[in-house]
Amino acid sequence: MNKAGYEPAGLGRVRTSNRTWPLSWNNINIPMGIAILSSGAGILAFLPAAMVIFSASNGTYEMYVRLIKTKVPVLFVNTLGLMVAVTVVAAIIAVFLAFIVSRTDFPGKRLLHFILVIPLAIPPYIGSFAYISLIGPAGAGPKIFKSLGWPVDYIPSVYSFGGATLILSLCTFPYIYLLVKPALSAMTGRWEEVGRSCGYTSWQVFWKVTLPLVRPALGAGCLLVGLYVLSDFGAVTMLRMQTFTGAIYLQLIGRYDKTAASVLALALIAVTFLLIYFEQKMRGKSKYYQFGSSYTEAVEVVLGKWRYPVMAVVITILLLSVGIPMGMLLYWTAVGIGEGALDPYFWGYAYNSIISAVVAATATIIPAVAIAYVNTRHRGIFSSIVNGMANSSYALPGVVVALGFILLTNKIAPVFYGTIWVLLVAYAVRFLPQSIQAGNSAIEQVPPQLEEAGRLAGYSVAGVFYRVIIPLIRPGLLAGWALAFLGVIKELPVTLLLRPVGFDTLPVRVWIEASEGFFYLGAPGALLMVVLSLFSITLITNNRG
Amino acid sequence: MIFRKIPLLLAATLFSATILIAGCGQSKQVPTESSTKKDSGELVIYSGRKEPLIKPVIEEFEKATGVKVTLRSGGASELANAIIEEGNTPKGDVFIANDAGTLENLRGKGLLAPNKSEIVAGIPLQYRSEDGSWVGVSGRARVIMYNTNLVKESELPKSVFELTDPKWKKQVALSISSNESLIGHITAIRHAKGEKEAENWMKGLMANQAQFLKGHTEVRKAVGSGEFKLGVVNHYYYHLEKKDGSPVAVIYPDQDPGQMGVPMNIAGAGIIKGAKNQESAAKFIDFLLQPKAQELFAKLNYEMPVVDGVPVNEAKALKDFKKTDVNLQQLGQELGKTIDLVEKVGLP
Repeated sequence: MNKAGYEPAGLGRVRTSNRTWPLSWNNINIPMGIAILSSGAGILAFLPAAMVIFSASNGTYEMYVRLIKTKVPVLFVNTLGLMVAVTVVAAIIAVFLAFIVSRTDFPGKRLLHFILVIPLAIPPYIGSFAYISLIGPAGAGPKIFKSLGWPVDYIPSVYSFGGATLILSLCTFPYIYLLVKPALSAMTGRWEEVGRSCGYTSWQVFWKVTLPLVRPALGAGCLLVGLYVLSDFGAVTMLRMQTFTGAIYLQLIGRYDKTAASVLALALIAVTFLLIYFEQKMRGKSKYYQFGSSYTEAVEVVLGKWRYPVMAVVITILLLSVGIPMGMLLYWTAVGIGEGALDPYFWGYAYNSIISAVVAATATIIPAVAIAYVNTRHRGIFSSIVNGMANSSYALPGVVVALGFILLTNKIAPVFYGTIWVLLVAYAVRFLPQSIQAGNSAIEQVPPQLEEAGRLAGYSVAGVFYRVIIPLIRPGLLAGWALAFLGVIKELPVTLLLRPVGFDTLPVRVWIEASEGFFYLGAPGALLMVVLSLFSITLITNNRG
Repeated sequence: MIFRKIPLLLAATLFSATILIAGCGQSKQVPTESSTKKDSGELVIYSGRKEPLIKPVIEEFEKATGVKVTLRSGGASELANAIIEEGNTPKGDVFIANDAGTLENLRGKGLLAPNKSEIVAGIPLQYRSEDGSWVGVSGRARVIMYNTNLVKESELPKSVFELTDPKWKKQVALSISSNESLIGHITAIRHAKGEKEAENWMKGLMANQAQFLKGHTEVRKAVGSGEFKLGVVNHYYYHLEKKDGSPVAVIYPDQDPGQMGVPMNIAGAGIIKGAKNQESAAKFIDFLLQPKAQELFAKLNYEMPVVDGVPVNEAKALKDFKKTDVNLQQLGQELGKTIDLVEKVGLP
């Protein structure tokens, strides 16, 4: 750092108020390589979203009228309806379980807490695959019913709004649970005591005291689930729901019509932003403070006669969200091995999946660390611009990111269309925001004094970055890498739209085999993905803080 | 200065990535090795057909000619998109599609090379383009399949236009309208019956809550399992479902005088313009029209041979039913208009 770097920023600005910007630019002491890497990644991440909006603005008036008259109303109702229903059901399941684990004398609640991470490794389209293979018309359920002579009509339809709601909720509730459970555990019991002393029953305390206090965590969790439902492609298309993502895919693949796809994508982006806005508004001004000294452990609710009914509910949830999906995957995998499903093709898909995830995760973490470093150590105009651009794909559905890249390659480098390069870059852009967050929190834990010591020892800024920061944040890097790896391994819509011809990955095969009814061909790949996901979740949780 | 190492680091990453990717790119290109009798060139085939349905034919071709074939399989639309984007620098030599519309669409964009082969010229004009740029190698008919446990013979529909009858509410399955065969079907209806009729048909199906499933395999399985009573499919899907032991049967609709007949389509092939291996490509197209290859298509997938005298496998022969009077070349030229109409109606 040069001398100016040690001056209080305020003084410099007062003195040269008309030259603030160029001065602060000059003062930036970012190593050239890192500056180029982070700004390059930022621009690359920002362009697809910009391309989609630009392309949508090219739509003719007639096209807008046609889409608004025919498709958009149906898509709005279906997409928003599903989003609300899934969020509500997931929230109910999650709050119930979080309460049971953190506030009651439920036996085996530690084990329960551990098991509840597993659904995170089962992406909704794999959950859908499992349920289609069980109660879908070509699945195991109807066959068993028929052989027993029971009427097949009693099996609920998996291809329905209710079916989609249930499957998506069962796969996404851990997002809410993992936020609400710590909030409940950390909350002081004082407030609830106050409620009780005012004469509230346990039930009233829950509604009037406990629930309002976890509202921020609950809201954040619901936002995650809501965003997930908006962006989901695999599960909704498998379950035959007509939502925005499926409609965009149709415009691209069947119609060769990128503009109409962009218009629909724009509508979806608008819904996404509305949801984020709505959540922030809801959170609003409410702030909750808790002083360290005032913490007391909450009173444990004794379940008493409710013990067995509660246990029945918990077991049902576990069965539906973990037991049945895993059971079906194991069953069909066993059938598949018998039928020779583990052929060279299968290993080819697995190889494609793993290699592209390894390369893409590596390609994600390198710019992510550069951006995180700029974020935490060189805060300023440059860092906010780069960070803003790099995060512009956050909350964007995969279908929209893929559409952006199709438009981008078409515009600037058609040679790259349908090559692995576009796919890898798109993966990196899609999972960049998560990796940056992992990088941010890792670098923030490194005391700046260590860097100063490194500088005093004669290293350049870049030297300190490599010799001090990188070795210290290695576990955080590993967690960020694993996050991106996990994302790519499960990725479906970007792969479908951008892959080179014939480059099938495990998710692509699962998606195809589920609709064509060849469950024994899809199950081994789905199971392998769940195992790889569990592996990366372990990596992430072990290396975080 | 350590920061100078960043470009180096990047280069190293990119380099290792390239090697890895080159490796995994190849893993799916499935080069079909053959006995190397004589080395007479290479051939890159873009195929929109399912791999098991084309690989035996390619293996026969390699055995017969010694040409080494690289097969890239994918969706026909995806491959057509790739050929369009590759433009003047094609990476493939031959394009095999399961729909005449896709082929003609490419020919219209000047992306297929005319073919003067006599064998191609021997195929009826109905099933190829005038300049031989693409030629049908097997025929497929658009039929209605039904579940025999659920539908009595007396109540069977005799025309696709009866599917909009409220009596079939929620009982009909079709493929999603991104499917080339359904688009071809709609073009045929537009031609035979006019725009209004085609529009009404689609609207009627939607009002009747017909289900548009992801693909024809899903449709045939849904009819086979009794989820739907009727399904509109290419004829071989009926045969495939029948082979799986399901209680299904087939109707060749609109056969009466004054009715439009069964819309036809073909799976066909063409030489990509500017292809590096033009000679092998021409050889391959001729090979597809040999009785030996034609028999394989019939045997593997119940398709209707376009060459006279090659026997069908269970399916009806081309001459045995009434077909919609549409030149297949028109299917491609009309692709845009049909898509506009489909979009206007809002078919899923």
